[in-house]
Amino acid sequence: MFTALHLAALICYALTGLLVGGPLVRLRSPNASGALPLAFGSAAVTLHFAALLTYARSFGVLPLAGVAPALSSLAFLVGLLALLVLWLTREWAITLVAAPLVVLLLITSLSVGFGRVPANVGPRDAWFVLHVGASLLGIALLAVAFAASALYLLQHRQLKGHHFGAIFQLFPPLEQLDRLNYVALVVGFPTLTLGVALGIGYAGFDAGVQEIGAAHLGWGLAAWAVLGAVAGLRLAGRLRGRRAALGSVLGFALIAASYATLVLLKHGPARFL
Amino acid sequence: MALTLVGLNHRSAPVEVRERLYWPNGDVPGVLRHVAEAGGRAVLLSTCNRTEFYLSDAAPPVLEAVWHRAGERLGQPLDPYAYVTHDRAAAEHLFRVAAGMDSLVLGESQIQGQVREAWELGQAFSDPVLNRLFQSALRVGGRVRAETALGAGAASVPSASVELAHKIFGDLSGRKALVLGSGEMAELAMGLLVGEGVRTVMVAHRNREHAAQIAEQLGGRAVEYPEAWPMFADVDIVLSSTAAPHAIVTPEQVGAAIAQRGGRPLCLLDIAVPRDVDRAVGRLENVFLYDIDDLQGVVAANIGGRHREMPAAERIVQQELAFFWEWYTARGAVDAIRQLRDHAEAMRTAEAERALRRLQHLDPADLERVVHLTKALMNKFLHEPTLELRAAAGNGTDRELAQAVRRLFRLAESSLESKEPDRS
Repeated sequence: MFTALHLAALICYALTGLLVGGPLVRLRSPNASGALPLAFGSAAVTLHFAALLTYARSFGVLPLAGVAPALSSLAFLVGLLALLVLWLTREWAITLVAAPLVVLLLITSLSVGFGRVPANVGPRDAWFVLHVGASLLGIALLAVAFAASALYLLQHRQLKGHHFGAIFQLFPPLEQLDRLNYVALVVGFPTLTLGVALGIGYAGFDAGVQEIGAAHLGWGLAAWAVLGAVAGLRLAGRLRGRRAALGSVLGFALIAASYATLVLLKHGPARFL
Repeated sequence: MALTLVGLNHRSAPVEVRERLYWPNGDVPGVLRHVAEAGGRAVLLSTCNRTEFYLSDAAPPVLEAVWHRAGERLGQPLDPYAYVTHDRAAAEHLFRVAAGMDSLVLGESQIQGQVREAWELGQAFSDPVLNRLFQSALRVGGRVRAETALGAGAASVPSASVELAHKIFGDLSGRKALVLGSGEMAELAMGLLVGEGVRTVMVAHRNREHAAQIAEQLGGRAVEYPEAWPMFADVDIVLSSTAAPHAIVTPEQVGAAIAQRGGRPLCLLDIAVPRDVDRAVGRLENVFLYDIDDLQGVVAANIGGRHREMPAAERIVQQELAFFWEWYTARGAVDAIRQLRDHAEAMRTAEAERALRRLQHLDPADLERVVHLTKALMNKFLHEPTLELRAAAGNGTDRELAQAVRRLFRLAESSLESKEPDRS
């Protein structure tokens, strides 16, 4: 049942992306018929929530342990935050980055398969739930910062290069994207840090290091340091605009590399978290 | 003759002709009264780009009155510049006008207000057909603006300045601006920026008095040029339009101030020719420099985008035109059918009453049957003519047929004053 709901949510996310992307490519703002993408986006998030709820009721645990449930939860949070941004700002362009990201996460999740709950994690453990929950929320917020930064860099390039085409006309203003990057980053980084700290507390530092592996730890620490530096400098008012956007993109790329390292090179899908 | 349009516009007449034929709002009722005296019902749309009479039923004396009045105003015959269209083509023309599809600047929104104003001014001289026509035209304008991007983006250099500032800052409320020099274009652009919420405006000009004048208009203050350079650290938008023969804003002049901005973007709009701002300034981090060519590029891109919206706007025009035309063509038939039925009913009632007086010996049930028979006969007789009139309305031949019915049954000529059906 939850797989079918996931598939339905996946289709709705993809349709939302297409409904927003199509008019943007043809240089038409989707605002005129904006109700449709918003309706599909809302339907996607609702179906996705129902899928995760069905999973939780089927297995009696939150969908946090294992590659597929964790990726699905992350995709849900990214989708929910993107919908929130869409609803608050009415800037459709964010969907151009968020929708493919969510679709990619969901396809990966469905490809890996939901299977049984890994036996070596204690999903009922409050530490575990807080650790994974905070980590996923932090990553989802950083994904929003990444989306805003990617759009910022594209719009910045158009404005500096005096290109007045589709991106110039239909992407949000630079300052709005910079504000979104700021908020998502300064909330996302402490949340992710809290998640990591809780994970250390949960697994025990030594055991955690051994279990996680040096490669992943290296990428993770690099991501944490970059994002921490960017967040700190932003809070101090010493970084903004293009450089802040580059920092966010780099930090998120390092997070993605960290997880890819863990999943694909070191431990395999079963030890994703 | 039916719905008729007589007019000229920016494509058919040069500006010196258009400006002579332009009637300000105050004169419009007088012109329409003149047409009404000739027996016509009209609405006059007169703007800087067009003067158009919309007549609901243009009999020759009415057309003569319009032609005479326009020729008199113009000081020469109207013929070389005028176009005349009828019925569906006239309605389509007005729908396209209201949507901004016939404007000099494609998609401009001002025309929607001008069409509304023309209709309001002419209401005392219009009739249900013209009322319906203008209501439909305004609906077309509203739909085209809401459902397409025909009016999206700036279509002039001053508004392109505002669009660029918007693309950098988003909301412009409370932003600070500095104006270097003066000029009509710069003042227009600054006026638009102030309208968007730009508040602190400093004006630098070699003539302090002139600077003070402009600053007063914009609600800002005048400064000397040496005072202006350090302001590059603080202001968000700089609009430059001096008469200097070479660049006056150089990296050496403003680089240090810009370095103090802490990464905040600076929008530099250089609309002077020759340009005031050295290109090297535009290469500084977070400085966005645009010259007059860039602003014209924005306008061209927007106009290109508007042209791409034409098919979508055209679909709306055709959709609303079909609704209007269906209503318009059905009007004559509906009127004739109503008159025919009223006439038949009056005859039936009179004849039935006369018959009933002679049939007093019948019981009430039989009397009722007689009345029912008269009604049934009347309905049978009217059924085919009613169907034929409705069919004629569908293929546009109802006017001739309605006239024939009126002549055959000696019905009064209708003035199309029947109640309008509501499609909204």
